[in-house]
Amino acid sequence: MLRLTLKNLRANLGRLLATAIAVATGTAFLAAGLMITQSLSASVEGDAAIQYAGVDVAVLAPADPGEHRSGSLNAAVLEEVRSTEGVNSATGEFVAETTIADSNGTAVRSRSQGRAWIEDHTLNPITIDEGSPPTAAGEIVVDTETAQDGTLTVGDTVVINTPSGEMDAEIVGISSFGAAPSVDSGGTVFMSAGWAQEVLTGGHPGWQQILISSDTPDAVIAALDTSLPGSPEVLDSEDFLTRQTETTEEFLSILSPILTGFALLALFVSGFVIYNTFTVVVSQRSQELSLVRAIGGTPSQVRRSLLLEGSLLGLLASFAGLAAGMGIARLIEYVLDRFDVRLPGVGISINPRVILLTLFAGTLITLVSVMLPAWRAGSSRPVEAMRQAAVDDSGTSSLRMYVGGFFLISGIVLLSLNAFSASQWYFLGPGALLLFLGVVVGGPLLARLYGRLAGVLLRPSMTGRIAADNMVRNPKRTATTANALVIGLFLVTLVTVAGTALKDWIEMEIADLSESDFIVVSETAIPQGLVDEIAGADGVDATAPIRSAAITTTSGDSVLISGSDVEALQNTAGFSASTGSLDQVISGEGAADSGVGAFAGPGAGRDAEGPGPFDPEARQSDPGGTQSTSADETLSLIDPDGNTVEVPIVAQFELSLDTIFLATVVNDDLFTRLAGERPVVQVYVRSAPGEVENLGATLDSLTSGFTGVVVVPGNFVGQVVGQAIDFLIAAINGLLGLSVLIALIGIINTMNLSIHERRRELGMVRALGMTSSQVRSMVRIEGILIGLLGTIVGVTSGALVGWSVVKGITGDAVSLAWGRMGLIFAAGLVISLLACLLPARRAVKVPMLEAMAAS
Amino acid sequence: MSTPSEFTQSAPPTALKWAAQVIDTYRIFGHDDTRVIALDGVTVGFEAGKFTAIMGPSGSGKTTLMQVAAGLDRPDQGQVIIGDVEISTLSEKRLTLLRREQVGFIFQQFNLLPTLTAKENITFPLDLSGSKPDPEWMQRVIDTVGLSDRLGHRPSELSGGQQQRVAVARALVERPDIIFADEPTGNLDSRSSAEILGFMAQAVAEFGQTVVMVTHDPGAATYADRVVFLADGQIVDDIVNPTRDQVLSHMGTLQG
Repeated sequence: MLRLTLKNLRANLGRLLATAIAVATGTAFLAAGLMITQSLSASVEGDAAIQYAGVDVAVLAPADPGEHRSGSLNAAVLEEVRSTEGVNSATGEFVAETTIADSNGTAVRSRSQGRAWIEDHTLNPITIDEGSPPTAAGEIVVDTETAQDGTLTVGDTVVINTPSGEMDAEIVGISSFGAAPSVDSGGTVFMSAGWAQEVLTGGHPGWQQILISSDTPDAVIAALDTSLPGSPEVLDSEDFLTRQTETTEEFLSILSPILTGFALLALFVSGFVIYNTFTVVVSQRSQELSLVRAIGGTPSQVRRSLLLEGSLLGLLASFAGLAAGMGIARLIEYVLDRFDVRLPGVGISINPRVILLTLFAGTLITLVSVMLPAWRAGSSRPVEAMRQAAVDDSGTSSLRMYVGGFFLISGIVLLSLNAFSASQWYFLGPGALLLFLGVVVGGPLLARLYGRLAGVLLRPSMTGRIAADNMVRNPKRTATTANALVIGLFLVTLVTVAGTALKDWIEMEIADLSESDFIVVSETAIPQGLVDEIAGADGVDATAPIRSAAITTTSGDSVLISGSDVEALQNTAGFSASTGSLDQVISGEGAADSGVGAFAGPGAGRDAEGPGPFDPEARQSDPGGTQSTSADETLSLIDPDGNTVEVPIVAQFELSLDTIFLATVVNDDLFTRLAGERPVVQVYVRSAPGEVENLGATLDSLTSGFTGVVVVPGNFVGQVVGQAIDFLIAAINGLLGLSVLIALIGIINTMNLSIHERRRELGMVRALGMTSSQVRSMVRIEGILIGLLGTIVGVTSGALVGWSVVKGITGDAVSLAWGRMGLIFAAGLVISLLACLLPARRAVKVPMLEAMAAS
Repeated sequence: MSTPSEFTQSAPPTALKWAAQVIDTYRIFGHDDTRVIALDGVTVGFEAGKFTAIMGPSGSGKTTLMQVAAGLDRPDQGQVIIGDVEISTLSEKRLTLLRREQVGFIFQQFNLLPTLTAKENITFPLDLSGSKPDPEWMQRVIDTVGLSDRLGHRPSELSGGQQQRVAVARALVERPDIIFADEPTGNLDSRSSAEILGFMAQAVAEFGQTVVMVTHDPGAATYADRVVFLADGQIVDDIVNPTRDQVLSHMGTLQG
């Protein structure tokens, strides 16, 4: 039997190729997904392990709820660590965004980080390739990639933009990190420890973490745990590494299921196609199989032969899928790179687990899909193959009708319940599932009714009429073919409809939250000259410049304070009080040596309720150890002269998209008293009516010469979210498109089978005078009818579930994306048309006489 | 062997005397070792308004002769004329249209489209060309073959004999210049066979239809006006108004 199997495989190679492609496409995605996640996590862990290889113990500054580690480990703490017994060496680490300006004033790399240079060789993983380490203020070392991007060499003087503003620096060295250019994917600017403390910390010296090399880590941990002030975290090397890779793990834990999900979907759709193809193969070989049975092959021998054939095919195709998967993984890497997202480490790599898992999954799904056709082939009676191909009425029993109809209707009812009862999410899953079951169970019946209807509609054309009749000759097969398309188009429509509606809704909601037209922002400073230019620009109605500083309190903490002309802020950013009154804040009047502040609105006070969704500090690069304020509090702040200023908090302001950038707000006079002269960091701009677009261009040109100054549209968040959702829809649909392509193979296979089964009929109708073009159009119409069935069911059910999801979330009238749905519909039809090209040619090529003579 | 009759030796076509002619035609299948000469220089004409039978042992080339004469297959060499059209130069499409309009077919099996009703099958060739059947003629044909009460049935609901009657009606209804029948009674019991052969003879006698039938059944051949005998790709005999005994003795000669 093995020889028969192998010979069959060889004899049917062309026919099986379609199946192989289906299997390979499914497994390719599985492989790509596995490869990316595996190598990502491996390389990130590997990188961290190399970066902190010499670290035996680490001390971490307490993190704020926004996961921002402040640099609160000051020089005294570092000294204490160094003097602890068992510590060989200890060094502070501080990282803050720092960019290098090129000759045009724009950043060489937008996401580069500034780091303090670590003197100790055990603790420093960075090697200097060229030049020397930074030792004094004004000296920097850049990584090889940044040097390359900005064509920088040792000895160049550049402008760097740090949390303390712009300044000149000389490049004294070029560094690398093992085989990679840098520990930061966006590039690194190294400074001497002393200068880093000055410029990176924004005037509040301290370290984010202290790295310790020790031969007796346990003793050091025990000693530090009790001795250090402010209870920082003290971790051994293992826990420390885990902490370092946490964020990546989190990212992977989102990415990995998504990719695996797509892979499983592709495999699932492949399953339909493989099942159909093998049904095709089995019936095309029914005569041969009958012969095997007639001359004494047992049913189980026939089945085993087919199962073996399936496994071999599945295995071979999975190998092909594995190879294709590597290609896809590299493609994804490339696309991410285009979006400036560089995969850390060495990139895509293959390990045995990926290979085994891919081969296993591909083979298994093929084997499972082959089981039913194989079982059927085994049970066929030896004479069966001699029967004339007749109309197959199977799959249209009334039981099927009732069960399928019940599933369909209850699915629709549940989905509607979900839509009209917001947040009753437990209807959604079962509803979608029932809908799907209804489509699968009721599919053959649906196909039959649809074929009848098409037959009536196409009655005037004999070719169309016969095509419609042919389509429902085997309703089960037609339904299975159409269902492969249904799954893909269902998901594409669902993602598009739900995604588009959600996008519109979110953009609308966000637009409501923003009053200002533009916000000019800098991480460091906006020169006063530029602030004045902006205020005087054509089309500007009003501006509100904001200054910001972290002020130390009498208890030693620090508080972030924003200073502004509060009235101007009201006019530009819709700044308003939710409790209390802003009048006092505007005048700033209070008792002698005092001022009045307003603090951010509901949910912002971490003391009260923990971090809210709009926690300002969570979104702000936070140079000092700051605390937010709460209502009815009085802040005791220390001014530059060392005097205490009492600032009662009298109002709470409404949080909006504009004001989430603001901390505790005081008027300009009070701010100057508290913080001295500080640069402006934000300017809220309101345009004159109808001038928004012109003003945007004006602002862009005004700010173009300044490093790190960015013009953000007022509805920026809405735009970003909208673009992100659009990108997501496109990306997901791109991946889903794969399953649609697999369905295309399914249609081709089914049509080929139909043609093979009707060879004699085709011969006869040709003899009776059906022209080649009539035969072609007959086949085409049949294929398109199948495709149309899949498209209608897929798009309709996708739209239904999408509507249910969106209506459930927003509760609003949902605007369905009719245009996009139309496109999907058209795509479905084009695909079916494409799928018919080959079979139509084949049908015409059927030799008339041979087809009739065969008996 | 008898001498070929005047039919096979006759001169080129005069109008409408010949419904179809095959002139010095060769048809060869396969190459080298597997080479089979199915038609070895055959010349034969089928007289209009007559019922001609083609007989011969298995592999004599009788089906090939019919297929070539009907324009289903093209000869490797020689001329085939249907009506007054020489078909070797026709495009596939023109040939298809010519078949549709001028030639009717009755096959041994797979005669009908399973999804169409009896009536739809009868009008199928007309529907293909988009023309309407003449209702009076249609009724007459249906009455002749006795199908009035089965018109709405599908082939699977008809007996073998009834299915062949539908095929006969289909061939007649388009009033082709010539009808080719390939073993039309091969799958039928003797009673149904007699019916079908009777209808074909009736069509020739009453409607002046031309019929060419391939058969290996001597009984069937007796319904014909003339029998052409084929052996090894050549015409070996030709008798007019055959009797059963004549046919049997000729066949005996060929096979013995």
